[in-house]
Amino acid sequence: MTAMRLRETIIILLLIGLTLSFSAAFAQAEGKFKLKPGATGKLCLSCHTTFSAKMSAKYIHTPLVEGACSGCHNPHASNHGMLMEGDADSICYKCHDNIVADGAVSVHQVVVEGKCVSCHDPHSSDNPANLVKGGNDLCFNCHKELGEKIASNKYGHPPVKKDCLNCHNSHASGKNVSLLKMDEPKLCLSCHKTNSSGFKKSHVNYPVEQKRCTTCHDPHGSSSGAILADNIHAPIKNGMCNQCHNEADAEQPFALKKSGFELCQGCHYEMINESFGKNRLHWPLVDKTGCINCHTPHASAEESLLRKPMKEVCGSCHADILARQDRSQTKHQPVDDGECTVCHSPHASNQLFLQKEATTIATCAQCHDWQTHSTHPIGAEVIDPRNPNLALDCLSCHRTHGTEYKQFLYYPDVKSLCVQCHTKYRR
Amino acid sequence: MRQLFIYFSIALFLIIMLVAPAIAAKIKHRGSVYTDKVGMALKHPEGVACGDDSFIVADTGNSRIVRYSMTVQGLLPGAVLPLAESVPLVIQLNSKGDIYFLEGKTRTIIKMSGDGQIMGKIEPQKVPMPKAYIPRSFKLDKQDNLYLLDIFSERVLVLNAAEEYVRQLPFPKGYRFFSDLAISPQGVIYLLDSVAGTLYVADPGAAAFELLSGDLKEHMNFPVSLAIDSKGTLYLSDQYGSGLALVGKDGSFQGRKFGMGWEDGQLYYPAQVCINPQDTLIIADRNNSRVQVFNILEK
Repeated sequence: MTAMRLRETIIILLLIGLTLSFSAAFAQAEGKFKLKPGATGKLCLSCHTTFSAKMSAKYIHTPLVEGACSGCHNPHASNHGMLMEGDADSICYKCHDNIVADGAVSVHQVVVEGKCVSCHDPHSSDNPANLVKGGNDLCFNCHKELGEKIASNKYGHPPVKKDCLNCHNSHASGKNVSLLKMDEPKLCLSCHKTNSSGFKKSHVNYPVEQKRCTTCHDPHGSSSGAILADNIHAPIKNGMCNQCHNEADAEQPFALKKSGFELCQGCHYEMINESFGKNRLHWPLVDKTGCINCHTPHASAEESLLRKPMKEVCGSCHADILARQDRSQTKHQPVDDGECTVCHSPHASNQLFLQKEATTIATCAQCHDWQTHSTHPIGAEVIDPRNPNLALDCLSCHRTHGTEYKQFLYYPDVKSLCVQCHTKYRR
Repeated sequence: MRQLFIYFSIALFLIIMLVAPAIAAKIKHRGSVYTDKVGMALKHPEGVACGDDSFIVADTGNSRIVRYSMTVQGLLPGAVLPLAESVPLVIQLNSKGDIYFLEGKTRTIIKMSGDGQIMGKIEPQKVPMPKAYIPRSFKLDKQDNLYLLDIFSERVLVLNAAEEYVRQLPFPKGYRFFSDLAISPQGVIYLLDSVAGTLYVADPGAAAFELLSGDLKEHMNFPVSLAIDSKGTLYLSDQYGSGLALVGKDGSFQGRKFGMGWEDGQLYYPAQVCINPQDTLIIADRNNSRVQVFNILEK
């Protein structure tokens, strides 16, 4: 019985093997589209005559060299534009499947989105790797603002001016943030020597080579000497690191002299005392991290020494607010532009939501003249019919950071909104 | 027949698993309070503390505390305890009826007697280094121990009724920002990370907090207050999401309650929540300038 089963199994396996080998041989002989011998590629170019210019470029995509147009395109029909064989955002990965290493710490946004053609010409180019542009110009296609800053900086960083790829990988970085080839300070120290007396003197003898250089310096250049970021904290500018840190020769030179806001209060006592006199404090101001939750203590490209652009700083905790704005059909300009402090006082306020103005109406009136916007009565004397304890104001109808409806309304349309109070008109 | 029974049991189990979150903790609106006994409107109340058959409200916008009793006749306003220029944010009652509240302007915890006499601010005694503390919130347990959420020195500081140091638990690594804590009747401490949308737990006697829930941010926006019912379910007041999120004692998300709005049963930027031993849920419905009372019904 067992021998019989074994024989049956062997026969089945043999049949499967024969079928597979036959299919493979047949496919190779005829090709996917059963073209006549030698027709591959040439057949396409017989109609796409203007394409011959592409073929004379310096660098040609390998499938094109081999005439394998059908590697990417379907000559008959497709559900994708340009008769592509698959989704434009994933077809490249059919061959280039090792662009991003598993577990990469950072990946270029265009790579994540599969927008390979943002940088590469899928057919040919006069630039290596079929890049659509050479050098930094390619990067500045998207990173326009950074390109302008680099061009206009008073003090440039030579490697940046030469090639972004001196410091960054183009697709992904396995171990580092921001596509960096190496982590800080290793990357910086690969060019900058730290044992000279000049280096030590300019850093007031603090062993800064152990720390992140970008807490003070802008690697893309700046308009401050030594490419310090454009906005410099006064003690740094004056070489007074010991105002906040231990002395340079201390056992722990970078340890802070005090914790949290207490450290900053030494100089910024007016601001902090004023904040502490308000009814409502922005709580992170008094946590262990304190002021440097939002501000960098050394130097920043942002005004007021913010760690990042305001939208990112506020959004790092209030991500739900930004998400709501993103979903909102109508954008509220200050929110969209990351100008949170147009309405809010970031340290403290006597008002709810840390509003700067005493009332919501006054806050909105900074930009909106409500009498031209609407003649609907609002104000402290106008009671909200939905709730006797509330007066009508702008927030009775609008949600300032956005809703899924237009004009930040709470309801899908104006009629649905109005009948919330004007109930006799409800249907 | 036996096979049929097994299939039926599996189907029943799956149905129960699917429906369970929806039927967990049914909540019924009992009433709302809008005014004190002379008809003066509440203004942006941020704090509520529960007694067995009463509650007190930190009427923040009016700088006062208002008492209410819960009777068969309804929710009846009682004494008004004025607080000169104070900003009461979080409020608690101890077993003797004394009132504790977190004062927003000075960021101190003030103790006052039940009849409104200020007894002074809480001054922790015999606290080991670091001495400095800033409370973001606090809770009292049945023995009147005070659990202080100290955001300045990153710890939960436990004091006894005489304000003496009992113990401290450091905040866990990797947290973002703690807004509130809750203490179960068994002495389990829960911490609410508003920014990360996570909960941490420390069993009685534990030396450190452990992560209880993963990222619950997809279910809530910015929770600021935490309360626990008699079954151990955690109630998170989602201020920016204008609702409540319910989390089981195992950290599983159990559903959301209420939505944004102005009608009774809806919330508009709620603040503190409390739950009494009879499972009465009370919410400081801050931007609706009222307090809402609900009964948590049996499952």
